[in-house]
Amino acid sequence: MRGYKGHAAAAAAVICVVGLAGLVAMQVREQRPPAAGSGTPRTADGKPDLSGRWGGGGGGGRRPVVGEDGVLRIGGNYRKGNPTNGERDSGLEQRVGPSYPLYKPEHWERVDYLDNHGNVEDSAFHCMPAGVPRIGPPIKIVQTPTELVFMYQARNTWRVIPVDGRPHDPVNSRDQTFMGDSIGRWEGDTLVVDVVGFNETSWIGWPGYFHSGDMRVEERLRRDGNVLIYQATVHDSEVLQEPWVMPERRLNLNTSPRITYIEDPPCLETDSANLTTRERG
Amino acid sequence: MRRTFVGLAGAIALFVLTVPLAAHHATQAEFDKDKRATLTGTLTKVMWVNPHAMWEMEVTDKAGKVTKWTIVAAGPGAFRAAGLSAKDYFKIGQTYTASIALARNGSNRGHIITWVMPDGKKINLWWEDPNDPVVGKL
Repeated sequence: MRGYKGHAAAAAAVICVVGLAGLVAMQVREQRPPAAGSGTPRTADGKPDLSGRWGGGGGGGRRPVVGEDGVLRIGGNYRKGNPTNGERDSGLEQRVGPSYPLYKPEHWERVDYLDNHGNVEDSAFHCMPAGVPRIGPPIKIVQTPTELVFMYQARNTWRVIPVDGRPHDPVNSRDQTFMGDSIGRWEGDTLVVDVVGFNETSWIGWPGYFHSGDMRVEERLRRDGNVLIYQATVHDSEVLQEPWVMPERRLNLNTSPRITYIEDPPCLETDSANLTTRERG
Repeated sequence: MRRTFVGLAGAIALFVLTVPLAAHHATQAEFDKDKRATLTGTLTKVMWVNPHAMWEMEVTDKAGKVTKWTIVAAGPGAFRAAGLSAKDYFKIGQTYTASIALARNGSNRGHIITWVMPDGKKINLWWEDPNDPVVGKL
């Protein structure tokens, strides 16, 4: 447990530095209440209609502001006006979130190593796909009676989720992929997606949270009015003591007539060759 | 143009992400934010790529020597979200001024802080003033 304790102690120390106010702000942002709305729309076959554009623009940006001086400000509202704090706080937020995977004792040392060498070890840093479940909820869903298509902004990624009762494909489910082999089913009004067939390259979270190739992810999606509620659970008995229930994510239905699905430009990472320290944020 | 900026900002507010994506980070490992420079030169290349948009500039010193610089920023999505298109705002051959944080390895590379466009408009990509009155409006 030494690694785990070290990890927790480091996190606790940083919490003290940042102060509780920042953490409270983070929690408030995460717990945005569901949008007021009518009942949940349903498809012709009686299922909740998950189709739609969910969440914001997928641009990764913060709200731009024009000051009295006419200068357009795109950057974030960083603590003490220091952009370095922006990165450090973001890294902290991802390390001390409301939930984290509980690894078996012998694996914490590796988690610590990966976290401390994330600029080298995190495949997402080097333009690889985030993979399921790190990529989070889809920003667009197209639903038919037999399948759902999940679309993500990052890397122009999409997944097709069959809901026609088929089992996992015997070959694809033993493949080594970032997004896995998915099959879906309806449990009442909840879409449950079972995903297997992962590589050992992707992570399930920023702080060095690795997984084995035998990871199984269960995603649960439901719609409450105009809110999509997404929750994922990571099952990986090879490295985890217990399944990791990831924090729930809520996305509002985006009804803007201007919203669209645009190309995510290719990823060309040139930072690695110019890094002089291990700091990542 | 300020009015245009205000309009863009207002329209784009509708499109802000519900939950921010994990940023690429590590700029502190690459750039010294206390070591600054201001370059004025000709924009020679625009690279609208992830994880960071990049530009190349040619800067001519008083002796006439031309030096090529690479300027790094946030991802293209941040510019999209702010209503800035690559073609309309970053034009090859025109003169721009870039305030940058210099690369720690001494190469001709910097992280953009503020762009001054050919028409004098300013775009600030890092929020640095804790007393900035607009900070509280976010």
